[in-house]
Amino acid sequence: MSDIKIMLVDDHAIVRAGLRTVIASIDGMKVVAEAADGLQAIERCRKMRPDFIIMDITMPKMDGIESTREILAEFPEVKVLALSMHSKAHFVDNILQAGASGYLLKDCVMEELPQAINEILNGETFICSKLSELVANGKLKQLSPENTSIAELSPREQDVVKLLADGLKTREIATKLFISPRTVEMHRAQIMKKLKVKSIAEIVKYAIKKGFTNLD
Amino acid sequence: MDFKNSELLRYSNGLGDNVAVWMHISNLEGQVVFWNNTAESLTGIVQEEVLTLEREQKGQIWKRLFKDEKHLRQMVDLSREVVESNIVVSGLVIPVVSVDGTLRMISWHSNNLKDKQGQVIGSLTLGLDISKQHQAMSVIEENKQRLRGLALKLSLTEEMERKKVAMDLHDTVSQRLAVSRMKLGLLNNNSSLDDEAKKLVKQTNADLEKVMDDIQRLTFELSSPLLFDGGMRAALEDLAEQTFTRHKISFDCSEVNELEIPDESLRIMIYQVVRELFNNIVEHSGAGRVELMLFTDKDVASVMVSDNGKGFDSNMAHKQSSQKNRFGLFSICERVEYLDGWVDIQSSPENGTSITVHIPLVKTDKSDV
Repeated sequence: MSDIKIMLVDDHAIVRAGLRTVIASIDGMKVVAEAADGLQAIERCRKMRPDFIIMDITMPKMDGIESTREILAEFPEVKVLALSMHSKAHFVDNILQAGASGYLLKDCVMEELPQAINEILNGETFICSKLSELVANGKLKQLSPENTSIAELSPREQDVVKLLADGLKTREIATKLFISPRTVEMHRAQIMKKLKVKSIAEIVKYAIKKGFTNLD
Repeated sequence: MDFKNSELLRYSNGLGDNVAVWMHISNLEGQVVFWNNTAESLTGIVQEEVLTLEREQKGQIWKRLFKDEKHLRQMVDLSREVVESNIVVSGLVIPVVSVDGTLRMISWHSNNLKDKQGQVIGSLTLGLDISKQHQAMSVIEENKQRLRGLALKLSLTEEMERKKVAMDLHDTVSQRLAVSRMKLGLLNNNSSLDDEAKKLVKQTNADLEKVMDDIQRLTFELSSPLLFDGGMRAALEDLAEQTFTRHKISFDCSEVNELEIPDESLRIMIYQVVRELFNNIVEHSGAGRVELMLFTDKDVASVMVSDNGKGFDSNMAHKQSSQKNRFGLFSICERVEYLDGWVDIQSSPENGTSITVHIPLVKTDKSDV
């Protein structure tokens, strides 16, 4: 079986050198190309046709997210493992959405890189253990199921509900509460979100049910 | 008529000519019947001329002095309302252009005059030349604007500086540490190492991991990469998490629509405003829950931060703003006003606080401070 051809993409030469040493110590893997930014990665990919790309996220010219998207559009069979310092959900979400098959923190390289490459080549998605821990602890909010606790309407939102139920328009409510119409709109959006409703009529219905309005 | 006019003139009685205040008297029909020395010097039109003009057609004099239609109407309405509605006008500012073209800001005070029987027979109007004060005020306002601009620029510079330090840390220290850890890992895999040495390598590796975590945390506190690479909502959500999680305050972030704020310095500024609001909440409110909502359309970027804390009397917010505990709010209002935005403060004791900041996205040119 021929070696798995790997491309390293990172704007820090020292990281690429470190990775090269690590990969050299793993049987059956070979670094065939390196790139220092997302654009270069696309270019080198076309030339060297790697099987596997280890991709940094924040890079000059073009970041790893955009580069992953473009490479996978052209070479859908290539596998991409994101490698980053960032443990923020935003970065994890975005590069996985761009098509990367895994996410490894630079911190976890030594312990988990071989495993990550193998699992991804076997068609699985890989998230390194440190990130999984963060998810389990609820520190990576966006990766965990959404926060479903329903918040109560604040006294201010209740005021707006009452005035809406009394038939007042946005502008009239604004004057009454000494705020700008745009702030009223934002309260209304928040109310709709909390009550899980989509129309003023439904807010009015809620107000009546709660006895927020006099029907006289 | 003549009798009434002479009755009116009784009021001037030499007094009018000796004060440094514009003074004129009009009769019930609005015809000017008295015009003092100061009025003469401020307008360049002498009493005789005024009275002749007014005899020909009442209100003529105002057409001479108020070139602007709106000001003319204001002035005519002023004397009419004073005699008709028995009101007193005080401090209404209407500018006058004198014969030589000088523009003067005049603060008008007017009340009606009654005869012995208590019948309204005319009005007495005083005009205070406040051009100098007005000019001084606009210089003060200009300087205030300039200071606000400078403060804003300073805080932008600070944020960029923080970003630079954070990036330096990220680019040099963190990356090098990560590589060192890789190398230690390789060393640990080396079979020629004895157990003692392997243990030491492992410990060192674990120590380095801690250092990396600390640096990572510091880097984020210094400057959120999300602010520059991740978009407004992601950055604010992350800020909320950093601020509130350790204080055990629950939070929720939402967005009315997903438009991104195009201007980076505006994003930075909104980020700073929200950071200030968050700090206020942690320090003063005693809140257990915070809600943040973003609303950006093509004209305005808005952010609302609400908490269920102890609140304050929002009528007092501006008066207290210079006090220490509300200084944050004061500086927010200053910054937002400079950008032609506005702040809605809703709060009452025991009922939590909701502060909404709106900033127009259409730039007015204030860059040259």
